Amino acid sequence: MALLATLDLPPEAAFVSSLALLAGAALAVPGLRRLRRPGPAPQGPPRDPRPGRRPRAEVLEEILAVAARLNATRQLPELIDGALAAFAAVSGCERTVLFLWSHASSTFQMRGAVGLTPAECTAVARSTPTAEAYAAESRDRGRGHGCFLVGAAGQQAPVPGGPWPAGAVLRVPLLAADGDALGYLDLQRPVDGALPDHDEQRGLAFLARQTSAAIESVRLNERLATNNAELSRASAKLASLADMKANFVANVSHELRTPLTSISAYTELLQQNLAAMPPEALAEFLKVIHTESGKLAAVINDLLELGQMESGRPVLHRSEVELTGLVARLQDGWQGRAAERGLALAVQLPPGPLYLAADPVLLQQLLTHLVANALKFTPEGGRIRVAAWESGSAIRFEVEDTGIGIPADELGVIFDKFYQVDGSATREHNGQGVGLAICHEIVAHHDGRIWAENVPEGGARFTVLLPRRAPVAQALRQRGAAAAFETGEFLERLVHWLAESLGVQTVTLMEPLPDGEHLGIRAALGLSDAVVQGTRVHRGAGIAGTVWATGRTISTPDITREGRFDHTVSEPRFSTPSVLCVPLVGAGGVRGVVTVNNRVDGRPLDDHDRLQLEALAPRVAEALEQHDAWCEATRALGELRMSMRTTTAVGHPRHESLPRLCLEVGLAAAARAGLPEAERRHLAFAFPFYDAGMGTVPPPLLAKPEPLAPEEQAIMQRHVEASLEILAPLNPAPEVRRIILHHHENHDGTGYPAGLAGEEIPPGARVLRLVDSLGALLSPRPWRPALELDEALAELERGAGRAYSPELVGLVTAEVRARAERFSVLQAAAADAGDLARPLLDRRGMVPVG
Amino acid sequence: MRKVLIADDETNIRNILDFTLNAEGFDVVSARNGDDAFTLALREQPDLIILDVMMPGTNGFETCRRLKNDRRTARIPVILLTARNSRADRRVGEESGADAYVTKPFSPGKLVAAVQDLLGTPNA
Repeated sequence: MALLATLDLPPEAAFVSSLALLAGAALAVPGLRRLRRPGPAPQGPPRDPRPGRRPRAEVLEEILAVAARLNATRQLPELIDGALAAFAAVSGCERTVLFLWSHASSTFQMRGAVGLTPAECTAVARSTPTAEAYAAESRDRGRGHGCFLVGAAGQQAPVPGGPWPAGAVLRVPLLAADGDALGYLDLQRPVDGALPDHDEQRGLAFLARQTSAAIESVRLNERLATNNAELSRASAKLASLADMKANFVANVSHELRTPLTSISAYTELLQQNLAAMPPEALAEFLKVIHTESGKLAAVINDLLELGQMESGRPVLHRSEVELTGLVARLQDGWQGRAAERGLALAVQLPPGPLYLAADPVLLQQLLTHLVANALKFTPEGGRIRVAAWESGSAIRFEVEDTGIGIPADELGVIFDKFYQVDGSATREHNGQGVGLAICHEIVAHHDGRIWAENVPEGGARFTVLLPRRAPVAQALRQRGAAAAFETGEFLERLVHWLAESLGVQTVTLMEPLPDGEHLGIRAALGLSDAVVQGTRVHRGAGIAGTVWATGRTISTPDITREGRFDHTVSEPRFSTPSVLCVPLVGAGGVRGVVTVNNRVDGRPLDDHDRLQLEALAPRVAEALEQHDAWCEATRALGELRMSMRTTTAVGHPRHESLPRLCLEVGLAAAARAGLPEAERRHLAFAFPFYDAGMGTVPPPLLAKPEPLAPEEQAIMQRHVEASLEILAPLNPAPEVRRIILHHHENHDGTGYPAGLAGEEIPPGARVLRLVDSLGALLSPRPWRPALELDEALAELERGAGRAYSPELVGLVTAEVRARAERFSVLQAAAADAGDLARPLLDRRGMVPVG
Repeated sequence: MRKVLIADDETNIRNILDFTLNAEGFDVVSARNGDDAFTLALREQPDLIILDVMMPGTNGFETCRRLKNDRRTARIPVILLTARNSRADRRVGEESGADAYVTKPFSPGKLVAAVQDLLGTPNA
């Protein structure tokens, strides 16, 4: 932006002080209305055809009055009108146009004009000089607020006084305090046909300074107002948080003092009256002390627990929990307390079991807190209903009471730690400031949802939705690759899980199509097949395309009112106007988007949903990536198996290898031993990987002929866990993991890592133990050559009952003998090529093929 | 026999007050909330009233104010009994016209002493 040098005018001190002398009179001068020239009036005689110069005092008076007005103005449009009128009046020009710099467009824009016809107005408004154009026009002429002439041909000149050159414009710059151009005024058509004289020029400069200062002050005020609004919002929030904290402290202190009061008072009475007390009273007193101590401990536990949960994610000890049994066990206690308070408590459970993956301790706490809450807030004679049932892939748990309900405006905050329905109503029921906060934490840790609502009949209902299974990524890890669910089933489960977690009916999971330009629907819930198959969203288009391109969440309360998106793109129709769309960010950037809408309860999606979906999105992305990796691995494994089958079926010597032959023997023996097909499949899956961890054992240890020292043995034994770690990205099924983990267990319980014995050892691991040894015996070691087949079998026989299952040794021996020829061919070839000296597996855990 | 009205929503506290005051020879009438306490005060015309502050319905401060503003009960001394003992709470207590302020946990012995102090003469 052009910086204009200060005009080389004589000092203005005298001028300004004369203005100051006039100040008293100036303020009494009538307002701007009198000064403002009427709008477009190019034709006809000027209204105020002053032939000569007005007296200087009159001009100064006007200027000062206007300046005072301008400075008092707080609105920009009003200020602009005032400035235009003032410049017109002071300069005696019929046409006055004001331009201001616009940061948004980086141009000067016309902000107001007088004396222009509508057509001229439009033409001027369209001309939006850039900083460069302005600088060019003003080059070398910008002298502070001093005005200068811009000639008809663009030439510039100082203002000499005298007659006004035809077509010339008198330009008055408006400069900010730091010298930046705020804008300028262009003046034309003086009524008297003369250029402003020296005094008038100084007057214009003074007016320009006043106007500039006023504009800056208005803008500053606007910014301050915005900041103030933000500040007051923030401070209101802080204040309410502080209130909540104060209440929290007051309530917690009450919670602690109430039982403490009973304990200390009863204890004092006991001390003073012990001798005189009848036994019944004594028993009664002790009972009160005991009960109140329990309450005190419970409050302290709650506080500690909340502190712990908030200080970080607790370690979830998820296991399969059966909910109806848990509720049944807790029910007696609830019934007792309900009876004490004169309440009826009904429990509704389905006839069958309700399994879910949850932390049993936390789950029990959750249920207890919710019921305790209902017990506290329901007056005598009321009813409480506790129900649990299966709802899609989630378990739904409800506690409904006929109590005082929750004020509508507080429904959203009751799970906040510091919140408590305030006032005496709460006190009636031993405030429950902490319990609901704990519930919320527990549910959040289980990736579930909890919410409260008032029931029309009066009273409150708390609903918890907990995913029946652990989140998909975990489920995937637990079930593992060998569980082999189809891609379709996996994705279906994923969208169902999202729907349950958020309580929505429509979920769309989109991923880029192979063209890299469009998104297609990979899985959806609540959409027709035609929509699922027909949807293509171009990158950057529509909501999904925008989220894909920007990697940012879009949340809108009403999609029909959004002008941001191109609605003509083929996006799925949204069943409700409120839509939430989040990116799925994987290792390689945005790998897809999830869109949800149509909440089960009909309410619009809110910030809470947004936070929740954003929290779930990384898990979805992780699950998808793991799933893809698994698909990749399965494909590779499928090829491997295929080649194995080919090898064994045709017996093609070129593809024969000792490990494969050992596996073949193992699988055949396993079949003979009556191992279920699933277990044999797991064994086959485990085989290529089971020794992958050997690569982590230091080679000197592997080559050591002497027996290993205990610490060396420990290192050696760790290879089992290392194998599992290497295998982890493939998400092996638990059965596969068990086979690998226990394949060094001995039949007599002397093996590692668990020291399992006999039947405790997974059957697949027992077989693997044998074929692993067989392979090792038939391979050379640094300290011995490969054993002959008979020697190896004899060695296995010696281990029967100690290292190996005796039954299996027999079966394996038989299967080996049946393949004796193939073994000897392999051994002969190995003796030549040193092939058998090659480690069974390379470090990446893959069977060397070839 | 002198009569003391006690109001507290906690059964245990009512019991302990009942026990203690009975042992000192007072006749005890008890209420579970502020409204009942006011009604009982009118009917029973006790010699002294002990009010818990955090009670359902009309709390102890308000009940005390009501009692002190009603000429039928204004003369009866009131002890506020509460777990809230911030300075602000004490001020509200004083403003409500209470004659004494006892914080929980309280000593039954000291409470009895406060009662006797307010009643001026040892119980007859």
